[in-house]
Amino acid sequence: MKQAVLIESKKLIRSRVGMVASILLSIGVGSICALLMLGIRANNPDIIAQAGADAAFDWQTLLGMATQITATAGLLGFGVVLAWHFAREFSDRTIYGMFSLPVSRGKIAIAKIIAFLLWCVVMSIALPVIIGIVGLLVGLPSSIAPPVIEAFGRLCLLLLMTGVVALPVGIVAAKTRSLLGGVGAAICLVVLASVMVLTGVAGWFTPSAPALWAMNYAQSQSVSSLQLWLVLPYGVISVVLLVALWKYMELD
Amino acid sequence: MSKTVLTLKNATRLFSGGAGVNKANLTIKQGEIVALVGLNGAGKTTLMKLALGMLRPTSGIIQIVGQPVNPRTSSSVWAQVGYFVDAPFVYPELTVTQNLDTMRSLQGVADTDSIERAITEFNLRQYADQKARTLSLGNRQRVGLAMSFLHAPRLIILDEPTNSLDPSGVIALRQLLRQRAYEGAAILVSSHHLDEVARIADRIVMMNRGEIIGELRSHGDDLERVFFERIHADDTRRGV
Repeated sequence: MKQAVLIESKKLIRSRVGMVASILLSIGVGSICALLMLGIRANNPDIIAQAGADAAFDWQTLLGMATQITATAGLLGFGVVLAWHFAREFSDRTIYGMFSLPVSRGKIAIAKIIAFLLWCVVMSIALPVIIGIVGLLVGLPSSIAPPVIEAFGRLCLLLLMTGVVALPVGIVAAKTRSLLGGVGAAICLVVLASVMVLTGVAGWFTPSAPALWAMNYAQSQSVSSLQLWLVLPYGVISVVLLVALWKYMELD
Repeated sequence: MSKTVLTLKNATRLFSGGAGVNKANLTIKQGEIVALVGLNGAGKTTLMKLALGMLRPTSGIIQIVGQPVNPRTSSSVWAQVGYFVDAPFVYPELTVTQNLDTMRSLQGVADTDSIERAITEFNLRQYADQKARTLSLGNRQRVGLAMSFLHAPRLIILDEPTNSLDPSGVIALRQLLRQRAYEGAAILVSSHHLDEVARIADRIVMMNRGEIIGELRSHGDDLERVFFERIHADDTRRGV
């Protein structure tokens, strides 16, 4: 099992998809935030209007922007990586080599999920660190108040939970045996999550809950603890389905 | 007395468009090379996929070293199997050595020298540190085949292994198959090249329209003529 996790991690890290997604989700998001903060510092009216009435040249605004971008881009980015992680075995035709091995396909599926979640953990540390560096580079004060530290923690948790809520994308990618199917599922998940926010019941729609919680933390419409904890069983069910699908797959 | 390594008893796999394989009976003993020949769509690959657990039979029994092949087949059984079906198990982002090491890890082989041996056997030395995406189709095929032999399996199943190989690769593979059979491996290989299989196989098993229709003698006869006569006779018997 350990070997399978190492192999799957190696494949993910050395792939172009893994590399590009890592850069976009860390340096890409960091760069956008840096540009917006520079705009706010220069009193650019367009950027201030886009950033919202409360926008100011401070850590809270920077972290708010990072959270907002991550809430949408994170689900799509993690979804695309997960779709590729499973579908590439079919497009590269390497799935044939995963049968008839001493390591069962169920274990390989678990190894794939662990490798993906480990990557999510790395991203959940990398992005807050980059946002911290961006803040210092654009001239924000180096003394950070406790609420700002909390906001960093929320950004970190948001990334972790986004990785978990993206897991059904892997199921679709494995079932359809296609990257397009998986990417389509990721887009559907993002659209559904956005639509559910408009309906007002997004807290109960688990793919929306982490983003809603992170963005509206200080507001009364924030997500309840129960709604947030649902991410856990949602993730477990997704893992069970994905592993079963992979384990009992046939190559006809 | 040689032990039976692979057994198919009335193995059948039905597809919506008809039988992929119908009531196939086949045994392969250790040290034996059996070739499967047939026209495209005859059921050769389906039969191999059944033997490897890639497809589950609709009915019938499939056993490797006496153990049934199903989703619960133990890892000790699969550790004795090497195969090449459809495409090389090669990851483009990894080098040749890393790809071989991947298979070594998955097969649970502790001996890291096995990678060096595989590189030498398949003449991959100059490509060892090259990423697989930069290799030609033939060299990717060599890497895939090297992976099948890496762990000294007791059962080797190869589906059209000479496709994309250059003549030197074909000769090297032929020698290796003979050597592994001599060392006791049971080998099932499919091919469209009758002259090629005639050179290595102890038995040539013919398939037509999903069924095993008999064996060809690997020496003496005009293989092509006999092959087509048997196919024609079988089609006539079926009324097609």
